[in-house]
Amino acid sequence: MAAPRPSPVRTQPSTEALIAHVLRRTTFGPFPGQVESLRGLGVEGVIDRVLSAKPLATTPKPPINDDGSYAPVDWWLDRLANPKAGIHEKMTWFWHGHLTTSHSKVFRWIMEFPQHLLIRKYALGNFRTLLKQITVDPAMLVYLDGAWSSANDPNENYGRELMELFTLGRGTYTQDDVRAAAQALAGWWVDWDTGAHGFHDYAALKDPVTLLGRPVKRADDVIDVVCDHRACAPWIATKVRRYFTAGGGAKLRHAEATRFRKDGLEIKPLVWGILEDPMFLRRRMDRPRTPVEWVIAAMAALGLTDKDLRRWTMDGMGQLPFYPPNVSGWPSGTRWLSASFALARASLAVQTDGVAAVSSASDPVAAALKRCSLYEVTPQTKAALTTAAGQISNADRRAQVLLAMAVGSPEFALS
Amino acid sequence: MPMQLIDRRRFLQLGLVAGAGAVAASVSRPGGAAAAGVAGAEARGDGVGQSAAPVATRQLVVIDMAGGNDGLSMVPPIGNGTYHDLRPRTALQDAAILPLSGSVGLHPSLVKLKARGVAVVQGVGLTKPDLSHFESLRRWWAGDRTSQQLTTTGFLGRLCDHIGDPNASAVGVSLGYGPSPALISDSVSTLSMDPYSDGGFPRFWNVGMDAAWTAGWRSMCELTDPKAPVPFRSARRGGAYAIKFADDVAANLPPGATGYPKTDLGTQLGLAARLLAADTGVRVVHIPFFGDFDTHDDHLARHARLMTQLDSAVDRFLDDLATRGIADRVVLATTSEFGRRVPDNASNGLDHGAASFVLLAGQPVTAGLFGTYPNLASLDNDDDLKATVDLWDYYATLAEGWLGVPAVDVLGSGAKPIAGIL
Repeated sequence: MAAPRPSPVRTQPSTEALIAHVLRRTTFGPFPGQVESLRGLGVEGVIDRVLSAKPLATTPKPPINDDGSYAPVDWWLDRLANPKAGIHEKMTWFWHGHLTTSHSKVFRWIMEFPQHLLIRKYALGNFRTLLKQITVDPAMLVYLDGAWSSANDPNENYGRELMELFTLGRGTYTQDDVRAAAQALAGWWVDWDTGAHGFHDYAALKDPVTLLGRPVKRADDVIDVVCDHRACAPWIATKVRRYFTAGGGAKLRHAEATRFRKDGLEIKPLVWGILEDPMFLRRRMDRPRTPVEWVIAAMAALGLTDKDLRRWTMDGMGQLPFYPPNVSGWPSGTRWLSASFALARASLAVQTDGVAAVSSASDPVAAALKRCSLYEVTPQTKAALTTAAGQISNADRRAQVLLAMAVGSPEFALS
Repeated sequence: MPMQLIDRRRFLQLGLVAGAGAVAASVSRPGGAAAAGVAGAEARGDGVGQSAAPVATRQLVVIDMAGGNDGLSMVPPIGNGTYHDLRPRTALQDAAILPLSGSVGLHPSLVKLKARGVAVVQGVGLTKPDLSHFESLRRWWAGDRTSQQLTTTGFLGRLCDHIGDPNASAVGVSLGYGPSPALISDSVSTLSMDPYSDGGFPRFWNVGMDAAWTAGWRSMCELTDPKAPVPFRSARRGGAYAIKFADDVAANLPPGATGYPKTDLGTQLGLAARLLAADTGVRVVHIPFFGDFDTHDDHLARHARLMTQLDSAVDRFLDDLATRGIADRVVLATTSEFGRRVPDNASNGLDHGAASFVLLAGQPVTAGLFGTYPNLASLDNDDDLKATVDLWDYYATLAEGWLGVPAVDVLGSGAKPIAGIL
């Protein structure tokens, strides 16, 4: 029905479309009804609201004495699915994908849940402080083998990933630096049963070694050296920018990194700057929703609440909190749009029982799209929904198919 | 770099006892082309079939052991004092090693593969090794031995481009969670499949609803707009191929065999056998091994568990291929981005290394040791093994030696198949 167009969505975005964009990028919504209820604030008002939203309460806490349980996973996902969540929740998720640990190796909630609370505490705080704490955090000591490493024959795992992935990037250090970092990081222990951790002098370095041209002897020295390194601020600032938007050239990224360094690696002003840049509103629907983003928003739109289904769907798509695939976290890019993920999305979509807001609407196509917060839809998708609506006379069944299609649409797969 | 091993699968591993592997006689297909010559083997196993199917029907399965599989433990030296000196905490006992020659053997857990016979390529590595997982993985996936090349495709993807049917819904399939960079192709379709799914397209229970849903899905995903922004095109293409693959391949899969170990790898190889037998155009299957090969600590116990998983799953897979009558057209090969450091660390573990060892198995493979065992007394500056076989030559063996694709077309000039394996 729709004639080919040079670009799928060419019309000027409505206020609703811009608000939906802001919420897709800065939260795990939008949730049904949310865009309409915030419409009066205007786009700038919604950005302010997201940025100033208070971090969600962390009580009551989940039980953490059963390592085979998923209680901490569900506890976290409930927060992602909370419409009151603001930027803090989105940055907590960011740091989990950057400073990774996985339950499939650590397998101790008594270590991992406290680490999660640590990330929550510093998600918008100071990067250097966060890094110093997480470097000697029990879950990280287990995940990247810092626990029981000895300065004589040190375990290099954390020292390498600290520089390659967490702070600097490949090409900024040598194998001698990896070894020096590993030696200075040695000496820590973890008690598997209690999650307690501490430091043994006998396993630690006796005299300083040289890391990236500076003397280091202990973990804090290592973190100071890498955080002071000129590659650190750009590495972090660029990754945070890409997390929120594809916009911004080299010049902007340089300015942002310079400011981040001058701000003493404070995370909050960095995020504020990225979201308040006008570029942020222009680059819409140009990246995939990742599975966690997609499943949270899709289940709300489909009217599904089952927590097992939520976890299974994310698991089948390879993105479940506390289970990153490896130390580099989850990949980004269009891979999330490939065929196997399309199948997984369709599998969830067909489970809807429909919702009254769509089955009783006078224009069920418009109602289904609105429920999914799709305010910028290609003529192709709209025509497909309209055709399907004409093929089903029963209102409830029609609502189910329309919701499944809206959630399964290419537009809903994008952020 | 711990690799993902999600609990849904963990349940399957822990909750069920592995079934007994069915024993099937090795079946060789009459009329297949004669296998290539067998010169060059330093030592040779016995009993492996020599017949191979016509080139146009051949298929390849690659098990990718991301994380850094320790080659020195998979193919340990026997009676080598340097090995025991450098690895006081992590060396295997000489008496436990399954000998392939007087001085080299297989890991004690590879009992079934030893009995069956496998080809070992010794000392495979990159020209300028890199100790980063991610850079090394990138090069292995791309087939980039020196890091000087800039390719957008993967080595397996290029193989698919050369041998695949452009109309097939999938020439290469990765049995994991999302597409593999190794399978990125230019002209044919490659995709990934959840190994715990059947690949079918999700349906509504009601016929009328289902008709509207599948027709609606197809028209939402139709590629009508070649100038649409990339994410839109990718989203539509993914949706279109999902339903095409479900119709063309998933709906035509033969039933699965019983007796596979209840592990991720067993599940993946069980599905691989069905895909390979289905005659739907699938020529290359990529299998990410969901095990943690990154053994910075507790190496001996952890690596032994992984070798046991490899041994039982591959053994059952090769029997399954024989039962299905396709053993003469499938070769299985392993990859891993690097081996591990030769001296061990104080955590009873092994840090990132360089050159390593790979295995090839299947009826067309000549068993034995190929290439030269790396010299443990002459390590590189980082205390790692120096490569004695270039990555390109290993890949050329798979490309030219097995699939009939000239190595120069998918690698570059100078890549030469290793003689005698295939």
